[in-house]
Amino acid sequence: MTPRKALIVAVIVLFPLALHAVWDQWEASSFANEIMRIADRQELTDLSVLRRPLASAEQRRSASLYAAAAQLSSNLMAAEGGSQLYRIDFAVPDSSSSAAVAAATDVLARAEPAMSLLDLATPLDFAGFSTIAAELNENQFPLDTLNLQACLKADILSARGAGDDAVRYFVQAARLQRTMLIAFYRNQATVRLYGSVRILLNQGRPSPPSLLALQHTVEEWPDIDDVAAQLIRTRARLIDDVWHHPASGTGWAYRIQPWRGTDQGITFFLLRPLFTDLLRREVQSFDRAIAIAKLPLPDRFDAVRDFRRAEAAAPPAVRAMFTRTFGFPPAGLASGILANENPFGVRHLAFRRTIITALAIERYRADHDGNPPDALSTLVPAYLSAVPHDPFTTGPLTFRKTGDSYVVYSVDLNRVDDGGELYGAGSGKNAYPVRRDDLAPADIGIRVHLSSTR
Amino acid sequence: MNGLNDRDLEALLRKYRPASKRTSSTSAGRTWPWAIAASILIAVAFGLHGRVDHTESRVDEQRARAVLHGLDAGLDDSADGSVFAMWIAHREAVAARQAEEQQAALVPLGPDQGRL
Repeated sequence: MTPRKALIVAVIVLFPLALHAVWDQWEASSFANEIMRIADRQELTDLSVLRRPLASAEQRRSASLYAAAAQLSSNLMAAEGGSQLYRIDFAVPDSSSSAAVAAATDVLARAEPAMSLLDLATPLDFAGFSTIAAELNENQFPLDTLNLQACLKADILSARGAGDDAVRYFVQAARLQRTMLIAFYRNQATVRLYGSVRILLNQGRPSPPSLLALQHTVEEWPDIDDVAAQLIRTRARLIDDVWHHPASGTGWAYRIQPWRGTDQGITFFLLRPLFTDLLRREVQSFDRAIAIAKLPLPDRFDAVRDFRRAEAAAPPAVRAMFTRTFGFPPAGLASGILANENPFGVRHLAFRRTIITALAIERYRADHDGNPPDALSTLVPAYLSAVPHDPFTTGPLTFRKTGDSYVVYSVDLNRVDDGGELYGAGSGKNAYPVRRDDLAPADIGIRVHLSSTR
Repeated sequence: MNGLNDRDLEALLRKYRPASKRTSSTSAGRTWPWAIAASILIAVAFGLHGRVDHTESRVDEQRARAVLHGLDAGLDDSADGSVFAMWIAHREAVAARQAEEQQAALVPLGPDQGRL
């Protein structure tokens, strides 16, 4: 090979390789700097916090019991007949026929071991799954199935008028929420629990002590919306997937790793600088989403809408192409998470506050010959410490009485009072699944028929 | 052509040989690096395509659809809902693999081990 030919080979082969190496280094350093900036703000950059050893034997025991119960419950759901449990709604006659209930009862009989473990875990201190069941830090679907089974147990008892017995399962389901760090699963579980509360109050006839026990349990749910925290945790998951280095440095050897499920190969090596760049942009876009999530309610809704519009108007074409081809990094993740987490977070506040208020009203009725109060302020301070605010507006929750019922509600995502237009499990209008448009006339609330109770 | 002998004729032929022959030789010398570069590109392209088949199956599409179906806020038909559902399915797949790895790392108990 003549020197001229060798030079040609060098230019064609080595120059692009050198260029690739420099580009790779540049992108890796930029990504490391981005992570360092996040760490400097004292925000989560990896999931090691979820894997921290548990402090006490009681915490380890509760984690083990919850994990075992969730595993049993998940196995049952995967078996034949489990999925039908999702379709039963005792407020809708068609979906709670005697045949359907008998079949569900049969499935639930096999859920007894899981329920027993759940019962043991409920009173114990819980501080996370740590490494005892690390998979439940990410996949909390088994916990949701456990919640479903507890709620159905409660529904069956409520339908028989055995509200006091049902409350035991409610307390288990309500306490189970502390294990659900991911808002998606928590939302699924809460929607189901909410339906069961509606059925309990209309059919179960629980005694005042049972109502008080349930009210105290629901009051343990934090009265803060954690949308920003959810976004920060999601960003940490994204980083944790690919960055296995300390957040405090920009070491020359640091590079992103292939996300789980892909092999370290030539494709990843060649595209690594581009992937690193896309990931950095995705991580950066979380800054805006987190800032919006920290805005006070109800101003946040307009900011979320504007952010979604801006993202939709300028779709990240290259990122979208890579997502389609490689499944990762997910294009528009920050916008997608914010658009979903915000309703989850704010609705959870509405669920919490309306449940507590309805339970307080029922306790008031028990002391006043079945008559509901004239206004929510009447409940303070004997039954409520204060009248809860509607998280979707700046005012209090809405309370309306008609001749044979009362309803307490929040105005939901459209932020318009639709006169108590309820939906979802236990509302009597539509069983699972519930699918609504954001701006459709809808309220989140509990209606109790006076004639059917007390 | 009178006066030309064989030697003169050969000299003239060497001097005025067909231009195409010379061009062909030069072209071959310039083409082979491009051929190598093209081969590399083809190999890379095949490599990329070969890899895509493996990576596309990582996210459980069925689970992503189930998550999408379960979203209760009417966001399920939007791009935001799709991204969200894919993300949840991805994380669940990661968790499943972690659980499998943990299981695989467990040392099976012997007949006398694990007794209280």
